[in-house]
Amino acid sequence: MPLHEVGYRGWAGRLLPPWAAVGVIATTGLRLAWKSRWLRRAMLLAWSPALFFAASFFAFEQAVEEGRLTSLTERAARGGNLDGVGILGTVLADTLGRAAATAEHATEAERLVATRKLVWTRLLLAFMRAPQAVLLAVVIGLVAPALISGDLRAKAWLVYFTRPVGRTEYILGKMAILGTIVAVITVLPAIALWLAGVLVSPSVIVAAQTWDLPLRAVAASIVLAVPTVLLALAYSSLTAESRIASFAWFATWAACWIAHSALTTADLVAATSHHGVAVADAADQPEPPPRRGHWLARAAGLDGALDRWAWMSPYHAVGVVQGWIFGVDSRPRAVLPPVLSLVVISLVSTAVLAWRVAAPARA
Amino acid sequence: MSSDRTGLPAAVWTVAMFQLDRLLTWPRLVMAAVGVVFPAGVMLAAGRAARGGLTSDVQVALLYALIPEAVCMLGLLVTMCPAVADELERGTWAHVATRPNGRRALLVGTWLAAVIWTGMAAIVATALALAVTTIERPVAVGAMFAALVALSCVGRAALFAIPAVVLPKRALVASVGVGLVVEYLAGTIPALVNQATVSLRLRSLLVDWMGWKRKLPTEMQLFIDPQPAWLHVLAVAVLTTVLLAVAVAILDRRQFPPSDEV
Amino acid sequence: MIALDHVTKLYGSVIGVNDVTVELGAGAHGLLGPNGAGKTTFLGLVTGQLRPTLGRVRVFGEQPFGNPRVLRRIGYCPAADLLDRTTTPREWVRYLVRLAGFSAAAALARADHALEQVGLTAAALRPLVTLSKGMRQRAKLAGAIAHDPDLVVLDEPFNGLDPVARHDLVTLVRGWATTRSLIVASHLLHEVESLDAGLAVILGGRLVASGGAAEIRGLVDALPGEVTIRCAEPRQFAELAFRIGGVEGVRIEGDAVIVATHRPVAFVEEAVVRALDEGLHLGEVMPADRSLEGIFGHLVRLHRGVKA
Repeated sequence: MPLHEVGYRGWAGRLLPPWAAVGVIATTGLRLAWKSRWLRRAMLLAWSPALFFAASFFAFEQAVEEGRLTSLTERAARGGNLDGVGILGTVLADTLGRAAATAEHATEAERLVATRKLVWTRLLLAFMRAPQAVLLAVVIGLVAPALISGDLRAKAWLVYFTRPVGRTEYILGKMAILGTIVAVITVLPAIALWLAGVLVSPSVIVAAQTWDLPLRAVAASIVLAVPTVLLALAYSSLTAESRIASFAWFATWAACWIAHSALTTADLVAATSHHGVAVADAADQPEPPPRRGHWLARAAGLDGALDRWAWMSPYHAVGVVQGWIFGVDSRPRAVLPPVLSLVVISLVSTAVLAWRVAAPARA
Repeated sequence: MSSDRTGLPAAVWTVAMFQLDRLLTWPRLVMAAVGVVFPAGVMLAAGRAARGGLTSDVQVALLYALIPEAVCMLGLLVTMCPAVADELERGTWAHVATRPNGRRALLVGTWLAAVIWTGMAAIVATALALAVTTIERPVAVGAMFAALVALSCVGRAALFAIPAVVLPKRALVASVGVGLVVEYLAGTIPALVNQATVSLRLRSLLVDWMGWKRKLPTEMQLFIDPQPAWLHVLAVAVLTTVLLAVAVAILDRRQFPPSDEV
Repeated sequence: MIALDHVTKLYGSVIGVNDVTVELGAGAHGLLGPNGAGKTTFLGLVTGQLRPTLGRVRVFGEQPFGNPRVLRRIGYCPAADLLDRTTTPREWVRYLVRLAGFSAAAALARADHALEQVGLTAAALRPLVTLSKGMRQRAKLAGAIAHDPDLVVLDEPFNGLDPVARHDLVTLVRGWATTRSLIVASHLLHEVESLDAGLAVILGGRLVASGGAAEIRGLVDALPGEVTIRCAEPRQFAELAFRIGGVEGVRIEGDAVIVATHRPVAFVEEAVVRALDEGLHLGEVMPADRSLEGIFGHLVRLHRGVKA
């Protein structure tokens, strides 16, 4: 009896190139992650600060529209607060006070443009550094730990690597999942905030005056995204238990923050102690510090003191580099150490990922 | 029924020893080692940064933030939070839940293991940190920190038992939230609400035992409770008992469908 | 020993078991049902892991949920695989025996004895993660019996085992049935049949049939089955089928004659002989689906009132 040929039937259509696997892994991962109620709630929460900040843009532009900018600036220069925008009033006050103190402009129009640029920059920077960076750490902590550890636990890597999917496509696909989340939490709200500012301003010329801010926001998001995504995935690749990866993620942020706070406190104590040598001198403090203890003003880059220990904490390192991107602080000794630490984090995480993702296949 | 049957305390001890045995893996030991070395590293760096400008009191304050607060909280997050989730993931929940007093023994035993593991790591961290600092009377300060570590571990492990039984699959994130809201938000509100927090008790004991009451600025006095030390210890004991009892009561009633086991 | 009285268990809007009333006395019982039928939910109710949404569950005369007196007398082997990576079978079984209330020395002795019974002594000190599924299954079984319970409940105990391991464990479990009460849940009739147990069939959360093994087999035999016969003369064969009798219905699909009959085995025997006698040319005879899945399908249709 002749046997029928029922073997593999080749696909007659056009196969997608290997790099398309990145998109498949990313979209599937996002679809799975989106099933989590907690993620959906966190993403919703992540957009709420944008409303708060948008109100501040509106308050500023309303003041400009109503010709109250001069009186507001004078009030800020005298140390008064600006009501009506909550704690952002302090940021605005500090920024306007700074603008008044440093500005030397030929015309009122030029002064307005410079002031607007300064206010918008500080508000956007404060938005990205304070609520969004923290929310991003929480959201990535919800999603990232299970991305690779789940595959290790379920031995799903067998499914991946018996397809024409390479290590690079796998890692890029996983990164794309987190990159999309980063974009939704930081880039899109920042751009939406800028657009909202343009829409509540008196003229579309404002967009031309501040055209660089969305680009800086994108660059600042990339600075935030790359090391944090790589670090989160590296932790995820090191264990089959996602909660260990989750703990390592949160513990890194917490421990580094605590170390940074302890060392900054030590610097402060030394600076004010008659036993110690003053660490901060005039050269390191070109601008007047913000109102005491105001964390949001510090997030806006209004604290001009050199952060010696920023390199030790991912949050602070990212903040300093973002400040440089937004034109706040360009001193090399302020920026270089955090840049180096972020580069080291990224490189080490990439190496760990490359080693771990190859490991199951080698075994 | 066999004559050599034992009760709940023996079951709790059995679970505690079993959980401690499970913790003796390389990844867990590495994490514990990092937790042990971290405070000493920070204190060493802080001392050098301040170039001798850190007084003994300031060093003690820093060490308090590092060990009874940070190290203990982080250690308990990784040991206490997965009390139930671990069993569900490993497929062992059904085995334990069908033992007499299995649920209670699991929760209280895991609490005990978390306290022992984290407490030991924190005490070793204290010894190491004291060795690299210039704190006066290091032995007395070390003993004080051992007591603070014990209270911190006992009370906060009981606090984390609640999210561990209510939201086992999200226990870590829930515990971070509970820790922040209860210990670091409510704990710093100078009102009735902070009486039910461990952080107020620890701060107050620190100030009392270090003799800082008179040195504290007036505005900082709001953040401590000037009651005698024994009352703070009793408060932590009562809080621990109540939290554990609530967690046990919740776990006693919880049902996990077969699909919850991975 | 076990009594369920109009028990319903809901998971939100999903039905686990639906209005189940049954009494299981001492001895061995098999719980049959396809995947998702409600077997594990049933066992969860009996072993005190779940509370019924409606109705009452009694084991040894008491409600089992959170009842140490009842739990002390039950040994449970769940279906889920044991994924504890670093623990050894000896440590695991000893742990469970200690939780059952035995002293350390007694727990060790009982653990060793139980591991010997299931044939796992040689691997007792190897981490569970290094053992095969069959060996982990043995470890779970050892954990279920080491504390000498009066009732042993096994959920799919033979899943994932090779035929040799399966045979060994069936023999072992059959031995337990002589000294204690047993409930074995499975979707394979022949495994449960070999235990000489009373059977209960559960489908869609409902208890659709119960009785001895012979009764269930009789039910199986009595249920109408479809026999498909390919024949060069389908119409003639259809006529022959009606003449044989005991036929519920016949339909012709091309060269295939599908006959629904209450006695498929007997019908096939007679039909083939008479067809050959009458000179009909038979190409293929496919008997009714006698697998448990086929029987389940029949029972579902029966309970829905759909004619076979």
